[in-house]
Amino acid sequence: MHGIKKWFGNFQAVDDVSLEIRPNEFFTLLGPSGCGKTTLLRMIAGFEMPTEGSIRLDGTEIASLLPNQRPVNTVFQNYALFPHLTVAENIGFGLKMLGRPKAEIAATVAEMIKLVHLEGRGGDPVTQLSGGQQQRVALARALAPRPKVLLLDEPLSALDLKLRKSMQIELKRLQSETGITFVFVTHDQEEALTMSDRIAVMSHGKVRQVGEPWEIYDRPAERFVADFIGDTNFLDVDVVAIEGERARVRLASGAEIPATFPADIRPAGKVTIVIRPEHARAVSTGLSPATPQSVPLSGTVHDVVYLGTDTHFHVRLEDGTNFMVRQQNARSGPCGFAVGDPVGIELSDDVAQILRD
Amino acid sequence: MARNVARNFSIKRLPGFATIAMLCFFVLYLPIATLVVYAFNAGTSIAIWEGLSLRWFASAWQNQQVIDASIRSLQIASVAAVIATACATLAALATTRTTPYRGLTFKYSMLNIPLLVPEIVTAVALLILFSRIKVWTGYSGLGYLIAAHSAFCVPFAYLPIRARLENMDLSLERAAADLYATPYKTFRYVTLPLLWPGILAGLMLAFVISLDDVVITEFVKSGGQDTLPTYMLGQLRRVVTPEMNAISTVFLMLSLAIVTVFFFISRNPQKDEP
Ligand SMILES: Nc1ncnc2c1ncn2[C@@H]1O[C@H](COP(=O)(O)OP(=O)(O)O)[C@@H](O)[C@H]1O
Ligand SMILES: [Mg+2]
Repeated sequence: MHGIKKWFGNFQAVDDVSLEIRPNEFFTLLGPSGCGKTTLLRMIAGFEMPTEGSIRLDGTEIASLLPNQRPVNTVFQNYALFPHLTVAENIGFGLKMLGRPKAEIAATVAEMIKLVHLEGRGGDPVTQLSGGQQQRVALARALAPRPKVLLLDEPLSALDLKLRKSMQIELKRLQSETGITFVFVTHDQEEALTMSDRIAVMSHGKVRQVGEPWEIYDRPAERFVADFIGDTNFLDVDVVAIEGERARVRLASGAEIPATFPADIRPAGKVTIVIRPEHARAVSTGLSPATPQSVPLSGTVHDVVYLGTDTHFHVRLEDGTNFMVRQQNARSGPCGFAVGDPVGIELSDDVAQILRD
Repeated sequence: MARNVARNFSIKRLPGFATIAMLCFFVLYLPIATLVVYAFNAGTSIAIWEGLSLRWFASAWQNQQVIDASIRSLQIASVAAVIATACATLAALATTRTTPYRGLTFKYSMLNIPLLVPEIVTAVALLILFSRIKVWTGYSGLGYLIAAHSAFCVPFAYLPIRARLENMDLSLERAAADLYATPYKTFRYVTLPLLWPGILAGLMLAFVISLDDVVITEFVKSGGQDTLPTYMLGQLRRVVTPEMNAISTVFLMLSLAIVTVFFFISRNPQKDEP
C-alpha cells in the first residue's frame, strides 16, 4: 500500500502510510490504542475507503472494491460469529456465498474443523462454545475460503493469559501450515515480538519503523519505538566520527563506544543513544583499576529489584541520569550489590543505537 | 454489595406499598373478571347471576352480524399488519443501517410522533381526506379501513423491529460482506434471519392494535363496514345482554394468546446473542 491517508471529518487517523507486506509473511501492526491500526486494517478489508492513496494486492488496485470483492478475510475482535448458524455453517459461510458446490464446502469445512481442533462440534450452535472455541471458529471461518490475506484485529485480547499463550502458538502454526499472509494487529509488544516475521510500529497514524523483531528491539530508530518496546536506557552523547556503518560516540565519562544508526540519517553533534538493560553488567569498582574504556559508565546503586530470574539494578550515573541494568541470576543466593554501593557498568559489544531526532 | 443495595432500597418495605399494589390489581382486573364471569350467565342480565350456561356463546356464534364483523376485523387486521410491518421493517433498516446524518433524528421522530397525536385528530383528518377520495373515485370498499389501519400500525410495528436491529451487532453484517456475501445475500442470510423475531413481534403487535381500534374505524368506515369493536359499540347503545360479555371474552382470549406468543418470541432471542 502506498501513501495511505484517512481523515474522519477533520481528524486524521492514518497519516501517509506506505507499507509493503510480503507473501506468506506474518506481519504485525503494533502501536498504542488509538494510533490507527484498526482503521488501516479496515481499509485493507474494505470497510473504509482511504481518503488518499492506493492499496494493491498482487499488483491489482483494490482500494475501491467492496469488501465482498476482495480475496481478504478478517478475524474480528469480537469474533462476529453468526449466532443463528452452527459451527459448520459458520465455517462454510464464505464458500457458500462464493457459490461453491455443496460437496466441496463439506470437505473444506471438515478439513477446517480438524485444523482448529473442533472435531465433533460441527453441528453445535456457536453460542454454546467457550471463548477460546469461538475464536477458533472465527479463524476457521476466515481461513476456509483460502484468502490471499488474513486480517486479525487484536484477536487474542479477549482471552485469558494462558489461553492467549497457546493461541499465539496455534496462530503461528496455522500461518505456516496454510501459507496465507497474516496481517495481525496488537498493542501488546511481547505478542508482536513472539509471533511476527516483521513488525510495523505505529503511533499517531504514522508508521514509525518497520523491521524484523530483533531490529525493532535492538535497533529502534526513534525514541517512541525504543520506549514502547521493552525497558530502555537513554544516554546523551557526542558523535566523534563515522566509521562505515558505525559511529563513534563519546559518553559523559569520556569513554568512546561504537553505535549503530538508522540508515536514513547521518548522525553528527549531540545525539541520544539507547542501550537495553540486559546488554549491560554491573561490576564492582574496587578490584581492578578500571579504565573508562573497559568500564565506560559508573555510578551508585539506588534501587535493587529482585525478580527471581533476573535482578534489576537502578544506577544513578555520575552526571545524574538513571541507568538500569538487568542481570540474570545465574547463581543462587543474594544478588551482589546493595543500595548505596558504587558500581561500574560494562557494556557488551555493539549494543548502542543512535536515535533519529 | 449489590444485594445489600437491593435490600436497603427494596420498594416492598415502603409502608402501604402492598396495599396500593393490591388495589391497582383489583381495579384493573375485577371488572374484566366480572365481565368474563357474566359471559356464562344463564339469564339475560349482565348484573344478576341466574346460573351457569354457554347460551350466549352459542347465540354470538349464530349471530350473522357478529360473524361478519369478526371476519371483517380479522381481514383488516391481517392485511394492515402485513403492510405496516413491511413498511416498519424498511423504515427500521433505513434508520439503523446507515451512518448517522443530519435529519436522521428528525425522520426517527416523524416515525414515532403518530403515537402521540390524539387518535381523534387522525380520525377526523382521515374522514375528511377519504370522503374527498370517495367522491373522486366512487370507490367505497374496505380499502380505506385497511389503509388507515396500516398507517397507524406502522409506529407500533416499528418499535420491536428497531429494538431488535439496535441490539444486533453491525459487525455481523460486516463479517458477511467480508466473507463474499453481496449486500442482498447479507440481508437474506444474516440480517433477515436475525431480525425475524423482531418482525414477528411487530406483526403481532400491529395485528392486536388494529383488531382493537375503535376511534379511527368508527370515523373511516362506510355503512355496513362494522368491525367487531364498532359493532359492539353500536349494540351497547341498544340492549345489553351477556352476548356482549361472551364476544368480549372470546376477543380477550384471542388477544391474550397473541400477546403470549409475542412475549415468548421477544424473550427467546436474548439466548442467541453472543
Ligand atoms: N469512524 C470513525 N469516525 C471518527 N473517528 C474514528 C473512526 N474510527 C476511528 N476513529 C478515530 O481514529 C483513531 C484511530 O482509531 P483506530 O484505528 O481504531 O485505532 P487503534 O485500532 O490503533 O486503537 C482513533 O482516535 C479513533 O477515535
Ligand atoms: Mg483497534
